[in-house]
Amino acid sequence: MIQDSEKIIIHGDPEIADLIPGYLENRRKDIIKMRGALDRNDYETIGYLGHSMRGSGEGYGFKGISAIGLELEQAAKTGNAEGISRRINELEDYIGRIEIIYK
Amino acid sequence: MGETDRLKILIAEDDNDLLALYDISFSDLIFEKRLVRDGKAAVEVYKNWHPDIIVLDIIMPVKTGCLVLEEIREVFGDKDTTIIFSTSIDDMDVVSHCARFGIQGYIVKPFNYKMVAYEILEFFKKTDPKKANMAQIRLQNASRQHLP
Repeated sequence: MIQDSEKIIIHGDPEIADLIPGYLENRRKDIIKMRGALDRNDYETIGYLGHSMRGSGEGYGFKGISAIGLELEQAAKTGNAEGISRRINELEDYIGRIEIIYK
Repeated sequence: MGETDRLKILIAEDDNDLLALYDISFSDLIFEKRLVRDGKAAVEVYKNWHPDIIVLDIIMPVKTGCLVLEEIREVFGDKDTTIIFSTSIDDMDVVSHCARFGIQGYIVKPFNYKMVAYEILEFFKKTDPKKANMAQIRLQNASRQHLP
């Protein structure tokens, strides 16, 4: 159970409320894909997914996803496996703590 | 541009989540849309549908946005259709390189889905200011109707 103090409150846009659960679900799938890619040293896939997240996160109201996406993209360019692993964990933590308030 | 005339916009973007945002960004009242996920499909739609505006992601599977732009401008000889790149800020060198074939502008991702249609219409003014102004007015009217 996540404590209130650990939650990340996001003020979601009601006009895209229908899209947001699917968006976050896709990021959970990305986490699985990136962990698999990291096991294979497939930095191209990680860079591509990071690039996509960077381009979409803030548009959906999640600046944190865009920021982590950028860091994943940069870590993938240099083949920084430790950095990638850390960012994937950060992404998982971020998504797990989000609470969206629509108004 | 009459009340029933809509601007034809083709959007090529390989990210489904961004395509979904584009879809709600461009009101069906003002735009007739075609959304595709790669450059090859973009060229096919272009050939058969003749859009007024094309928005191209640069990095796409099968055929990049740059190659689509080059094909439209050089192979088909179309210098008139409004073409706009959708790009991340660190793709600027690529934008500059490709822009030699002729683009009307670019938008930077992540974009604000509520503003992107206005940005696109600003670029479209370079090609057809009358149609672009008419569409902007209709877009503003449609936005006001959504206000509480």
